[in-house]
Amino acid sequence: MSLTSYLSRFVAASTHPSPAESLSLSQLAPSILNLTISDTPEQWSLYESLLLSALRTGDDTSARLVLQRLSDRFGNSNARIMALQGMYDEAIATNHAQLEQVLKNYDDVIKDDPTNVPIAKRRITLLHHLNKKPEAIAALTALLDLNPTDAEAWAQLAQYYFEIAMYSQAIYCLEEVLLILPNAYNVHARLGEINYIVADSGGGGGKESILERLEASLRWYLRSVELCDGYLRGYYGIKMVTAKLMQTKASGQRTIAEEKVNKLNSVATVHLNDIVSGHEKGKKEFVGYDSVEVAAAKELLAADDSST
Amino acid sequence: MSRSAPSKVLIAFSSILLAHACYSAHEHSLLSTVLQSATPSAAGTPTTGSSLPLDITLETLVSVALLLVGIVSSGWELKPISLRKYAGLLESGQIVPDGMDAKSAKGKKKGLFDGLEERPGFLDIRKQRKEFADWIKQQDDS
Repeated sequence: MSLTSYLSRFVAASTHPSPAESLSLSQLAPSILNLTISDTPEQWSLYESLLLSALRTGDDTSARLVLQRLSDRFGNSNARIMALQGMYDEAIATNHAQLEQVLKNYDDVIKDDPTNVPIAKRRITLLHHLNKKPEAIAALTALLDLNPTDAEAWAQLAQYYFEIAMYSQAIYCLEEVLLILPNAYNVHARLGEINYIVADSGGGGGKESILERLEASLRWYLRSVELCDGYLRGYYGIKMVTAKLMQTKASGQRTIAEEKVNKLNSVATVHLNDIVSGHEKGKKEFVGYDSVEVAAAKELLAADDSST
Repeated sequence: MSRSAPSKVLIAFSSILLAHACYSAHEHSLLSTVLQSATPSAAGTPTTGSSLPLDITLETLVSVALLLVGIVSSGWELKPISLRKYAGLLESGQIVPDGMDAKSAKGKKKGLFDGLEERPGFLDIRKQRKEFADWIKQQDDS
């Protein structure tokens, strides 16, 4: 196999691969390390991905070797190499004291150079991992003060707020992401999900009523399918929210007319049916959808059929 | 590449026309040289071999123009340039992004903005390591 075909396999895997996938990627390590070093950008990004998957599967010897080659090429003071080195240290630490030591190293680096973004992100992740959630959030907001156009950091902050059920803060952060990347349809769908969760958990204690939350959720989902043709997650959300809206007896002023909600519900049903049946029949246009997501959509449709 | 029937006819017709124009031009030049050598007395008159009759020139131009129209209108598949379409094709796995081949991308859909939800900069390596170790243990038990 050539370098590009190896790279293609790593690019195809997400940053959160399944264990079986990690294993098969990590098993490529010896053959990749035996390739001659060609000093191309592809080579080094392949090394970077290989390092991560070796660390994931506990292949520390390969990880050490890859890291060594990377730092020989780019030097130890390169911010990205420092972050990879930090990740290696985190991964091989066996006890809490060692992790605290890694954290202290990060603190020292940040003190010297507060603009070292990769290390700042590692530090925040480690804080969060050590269950110091308030510190992680404080560090992340400080990083965002420094660099307010980092969409990844805003999205991560939204996730941290979401985990501790501070939903309105999470929504605010995702809206910031949309200011930077207005076409990010998956963030639109995420906003729909969070609004739905807030409505489901009783309005979140904010001033908006459950109805307003559901309608906001519906609007976000609609925008996501407007931005992405045949977006399964978006249609799933529309179906879910409209079903909820049809059940909810009006408490407060509706801004989306009931007949419109009914219509949207049937439109979403049609699209979901298309996707589910197309996927099952193995039609070319539909086979690429994630099987798990299609199964979930099928379940939703079945639940809807049995309730009516 | 699927071509519509009218443009196929147009391409065929204009190709024949172009071939005919070439043939006529060739014949014409041949004829004028033969005529010149047959009548050496006319050697003093300016040669007409280099100038083609108007109808052959016109036929060439018209056939090329028609051929161009035929090729352009033959309706090959254009690449999706609207975000809605492109993102939809990516999400349903009909096209694969750059840097991936179809084989390794199979069964793994890739969105345009997946990075916002995967966030590689904030990768919690210890958590993933633990998940993997648990999985291995589970595999060994079963």
